[in-house]
Amino acid sequence: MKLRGLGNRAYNVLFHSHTVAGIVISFALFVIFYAGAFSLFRHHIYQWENPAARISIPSDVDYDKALLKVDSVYDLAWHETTNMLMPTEHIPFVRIYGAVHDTDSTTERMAAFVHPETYAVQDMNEPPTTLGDTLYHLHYFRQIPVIGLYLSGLLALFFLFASVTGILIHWRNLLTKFYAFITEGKWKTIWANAHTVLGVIGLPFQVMYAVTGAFFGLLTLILLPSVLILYNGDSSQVFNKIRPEGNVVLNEDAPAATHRSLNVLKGQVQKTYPDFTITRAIVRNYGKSDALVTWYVDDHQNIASSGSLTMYMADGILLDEYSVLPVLKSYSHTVIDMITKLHFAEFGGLAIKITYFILSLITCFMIISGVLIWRTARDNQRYTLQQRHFHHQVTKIYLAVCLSMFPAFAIIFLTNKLIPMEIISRANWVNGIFFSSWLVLILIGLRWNNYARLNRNYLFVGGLLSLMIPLANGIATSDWFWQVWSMFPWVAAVDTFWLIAGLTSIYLVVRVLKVPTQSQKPSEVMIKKRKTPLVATSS
Amino acid sequence: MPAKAKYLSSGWTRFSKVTAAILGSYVVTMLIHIAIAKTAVNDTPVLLTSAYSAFLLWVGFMVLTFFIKKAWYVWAVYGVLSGMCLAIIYL
Repeated sequence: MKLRGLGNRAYNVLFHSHTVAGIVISFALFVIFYAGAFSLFRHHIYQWENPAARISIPSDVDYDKALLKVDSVYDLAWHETTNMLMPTEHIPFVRIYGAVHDTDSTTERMAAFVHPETYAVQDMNEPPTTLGDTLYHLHYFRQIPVIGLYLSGLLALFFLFASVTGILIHWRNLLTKFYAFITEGKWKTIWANAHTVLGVIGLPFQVMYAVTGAFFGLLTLILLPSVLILYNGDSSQVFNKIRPEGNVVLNEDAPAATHRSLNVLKGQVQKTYPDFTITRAIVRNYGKSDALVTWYVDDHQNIASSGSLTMYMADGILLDEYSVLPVLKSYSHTVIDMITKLHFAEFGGLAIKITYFILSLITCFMIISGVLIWRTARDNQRYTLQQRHFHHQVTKIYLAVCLSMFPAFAIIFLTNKLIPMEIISRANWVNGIFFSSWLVLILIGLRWNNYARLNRNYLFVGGLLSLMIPLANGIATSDWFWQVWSMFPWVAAVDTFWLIAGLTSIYLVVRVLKVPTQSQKPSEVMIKKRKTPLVATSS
Repeated sequence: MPAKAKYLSSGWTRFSKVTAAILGSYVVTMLIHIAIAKTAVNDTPVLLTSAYSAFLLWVGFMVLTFFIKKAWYVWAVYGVLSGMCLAIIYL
């Protein structure tokens, strides 16, 4: 069955804009989705990356003690917000982000992790490990100063454009695209089928990520005009709509006073919301007469189940006006939280995270197949040799950047275990080695003029490196993955993941992949073939 | 398989269209949102809805830009829409 498609002009124009937008964003979008897929688990892998985090959380963590301990080290500016993240099964530390007085009258943000048993303070401006964060930051190009985030937002926007135009140009055959799983025929047909089928089936997921990704990257661009015109440029008014506790005005010079302890108040909130996890507390004016705390709760099972409960610490009575009740909250309080939950897969437990991970990798494949259609559709005599060289070079560079991410990611996991924890600023070393080895891998890849060989070689190198990861973790921390399944399941899970990834890649390289020997570089011979008959007829 | 060149615009028309698709669409999208927020009894839900609707509308206008054949026509449509929204916002 066929649907009514576009007219000739509209089809060709939208097809062309789909191609141009797609080819420009493709390699960067691949990086976003690939790094993003791993970022979904950035907390889950924390115990793997930091052996000091392989502890169990005691049942009675003293949050007041943790906060005061940090204050004794940093001298916190209590009038500013102090953000305290509760220990989780993945990151068992109390994480405190606050403000400290600078030399002049301004304040500066600080970050510290507090051990839940010893209350030792670890400064997080010099973290011992950043593996998960590095991959997470890479997925929105935070390593590129200033413009990185906006760039990723624009990429998401053009991804939405490419998705919409893609659906429009395939509208006529949209129904058959749901099941055209064809792996036979010419390469151009195979890539085209892969691209359209995965694009159509993955559409809801991809549109969701295009919109939510654009939101996180281009938030400023969307809010700025509204804030300027509707709120005379006062952006705090907008943020206070989302986080109503910001509306409570506290006296900077309030007198010191004793108030209820955080531990007691937390117990009280937990009793009211027994099925919810208290994820963090935001404290202002701690130790003063008007001390205020906002508890963030979430049951991680529902798209609208996060909320925030605000109370003065003197009496611990819920301030309805400044709270956001989970599930019962209004539309306005739900929108941003929902976008966040959708983007970070925090609404349906592990099953959703794993589904997202697989769909992200499928999207990566969709992106690559798009580039390969672009190239194979242009690898013919209608194009000059120079044009075809250009198409080949672009494809080769794109494939090198994208496919080398597998071995490069194996390298960052490996380096995380090879560089001893005691070394000063080791995180910088790990990141430096990761980015430079990724660059080296790309440069080596550019020497291969055969895409199949390029793919196979990266897969082979990546496979070998993957197999070394569980080995490195076992040797460095003596937590072998078969021993720690019950104690630290996520440590074992990371090792097992890489073991399976490594074995699968090696199997594919040895048994499945067939690599043709000839180069795919466009050659003079093919152009001459076309010219010869022309010359023959004219002479 | 690549798109047939005879249907595609070139030179200044193309530049004008790409500009209209990216910048023109953005301006119109934002003005429409602000105009709705201005007329609504409570502007908060409108403002927060723009967190996703703005991108959908922006891309919708982008596609529309290429759908319409003449670049000046696109600019005229966006000009009229912007004018109407500005009138609602400031009058």
